[in-house]
Amino acid sequence: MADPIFHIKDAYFFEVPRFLYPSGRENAKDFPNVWVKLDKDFQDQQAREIQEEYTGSAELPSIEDWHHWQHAGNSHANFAAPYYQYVESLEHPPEDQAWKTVVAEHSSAEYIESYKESATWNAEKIEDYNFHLSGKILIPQPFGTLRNLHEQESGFAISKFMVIEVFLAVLLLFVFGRLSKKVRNGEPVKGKLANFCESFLLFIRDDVARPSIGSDADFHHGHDDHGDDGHHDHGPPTYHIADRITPILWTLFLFILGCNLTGMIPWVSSPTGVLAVTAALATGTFVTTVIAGSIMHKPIGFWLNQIPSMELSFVLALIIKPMLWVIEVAGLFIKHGVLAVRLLANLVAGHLVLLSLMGLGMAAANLGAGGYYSIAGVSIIGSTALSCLELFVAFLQAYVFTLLSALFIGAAMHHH
Amino acid sequence: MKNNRLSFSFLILAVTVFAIHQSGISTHAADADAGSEAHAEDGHGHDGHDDEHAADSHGDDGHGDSHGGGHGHDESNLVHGNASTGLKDILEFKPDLAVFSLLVFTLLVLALWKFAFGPIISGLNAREQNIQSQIATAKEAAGKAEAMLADYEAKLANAANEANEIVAEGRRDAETTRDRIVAEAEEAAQREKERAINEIEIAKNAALQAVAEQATDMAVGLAGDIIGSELDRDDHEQLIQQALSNLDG
Repeated sequence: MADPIFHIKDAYFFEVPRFLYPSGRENAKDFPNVWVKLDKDFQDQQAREIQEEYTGSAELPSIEDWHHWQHAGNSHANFAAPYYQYVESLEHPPEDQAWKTVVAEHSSAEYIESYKESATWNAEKIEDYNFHLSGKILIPQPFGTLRNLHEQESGFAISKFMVIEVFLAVLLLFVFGRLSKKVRNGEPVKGKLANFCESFLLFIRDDVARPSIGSDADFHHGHDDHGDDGHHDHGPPTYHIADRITPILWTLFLFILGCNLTGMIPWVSSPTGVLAVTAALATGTFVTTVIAGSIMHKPIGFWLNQIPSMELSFVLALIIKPMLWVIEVAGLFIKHGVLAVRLLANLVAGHLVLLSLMGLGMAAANLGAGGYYSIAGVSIIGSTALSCLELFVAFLQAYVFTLLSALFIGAAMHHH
Repeated sequence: MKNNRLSFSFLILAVTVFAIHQSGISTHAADADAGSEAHAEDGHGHDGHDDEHAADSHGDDGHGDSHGGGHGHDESNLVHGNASTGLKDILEFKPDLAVFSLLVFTLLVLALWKFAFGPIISGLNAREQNIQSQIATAKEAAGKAEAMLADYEAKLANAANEANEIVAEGRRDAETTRDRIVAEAEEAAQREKERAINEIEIAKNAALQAVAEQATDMAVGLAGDIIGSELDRDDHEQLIQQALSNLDG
């Protein structure tokens, strides 16, 4: 069974049950380049031709050595690795221009295409390959090439998570664009969906953004001692400054929630289950923190503001304040980093537990009917219960990420 | 009802387990094992060539042995072929995906701000201001109404007092009038009585005079008859006076 980690990580295809998307490719021409260049026959021909056409002085290893290398070890680490990669992994790989040229020639798209034209694969192999490609909807790659169906090699390769993210972005734009038309005139919205969407926005604004960032009064005389607790402001407090940050928090919450929830849809997975996406989102928060802080305190003031204000004698301040500044600035980076890791860890942990429960049922498929049905029953009940938990975690982590972002941004905007 | 639901749930569960069993066999066969019976069951007819694969891999320093238990390595599955070391790393960081995600997120923030959230923020604020001004208006109206109510209540209380006053005054007037009338009536009655008494007195006196005169005349007459002498006028007068004073006495 494939490593369960592949169900969490990004890929360059969407996976559905085999019968929904059977592969009926008939000859080598019909297979994608990424598949062909991992094919044994292709790689053997490629290796032979590289050996023949290499004009440099270095001694190239034999094809048998390469085959041994491919199958060495228990983890299949070198499975389907091409000959030139083996050569380059050696202690003294050829570094001359001739080598680079011959490798480039024999790994180019044109080379693969020409092989596909001439190759005659036997029916057995094609049937085998079709079996493995069934249920895999490959994403077209006009801007890049792949190393395998999970890894990119060169250029810009469009991955599954990228497609999901763009889809979510379009969905959010559509849903909330429609909502904005209803809310725009200041009338209360009508309709279940509109009220549902609006309740999210109001929750984030009233319970996350405004309390974390504070009212306008907090910014104007929040830290000066007026002695009258700012009670000269009659009427309800205003939140014009907080409202400028609220759309970012709204987007954060909805985007993260969307990314978390796609993991609950069969055959789709969560973009927030990989570090790249959570790190990008945390970067979004960090950039907002820095920009919002810089607008409130000027760019230099923002960085100086990282030191908490203390009553210290001049000499002590000279020693302690720089050290504190270093710690606080490091903390600024660390807490945004932790933001990314927290979301990632929660999502991955949930998916892994679900996968292991499902895997239990799958692994029991070879047992007798009695053993299978009892284990699969447990597996399904457990998966259902954990899916409910996952659903909760999806909302909770989106909320936590947004709340912490709001607190970080709010802290950067106020005086310490 | 509850029992029905419970048994329905179990039915669904059973169907699901069975369905997964079916697909489980094929998935398992597909992903995992070269040369397992399940693979052959799937109608792929792979027996011969799976053996060939098995032979291939077993030929090389026994690596096939290390994957016993049906978890052999399928040489025809190129999905993860030529994997780099980061492939199975759960913390692998893909820069292209990160940059792309940040880009999508940034564009989404800007687009939503422009087309959705900006209008929504101002719409919500407008709505809140509406509500606040409506509340203020309502409060003002309520205050006014309260003042009016107090005013009317005061007026109503005044009117009741006035009415009471009027009634009391009427009663007082009536009483005075009654007293006066009674007093007058009493006075008049008294006068009538007195007058009547006077008249009676006069009538009595006159009657007595008449009786006395007649009696005197009769007595004189009788006496004259008896004594045969006539009384002169003066004697007459004297006798009357005598009789009267006797009567009086």
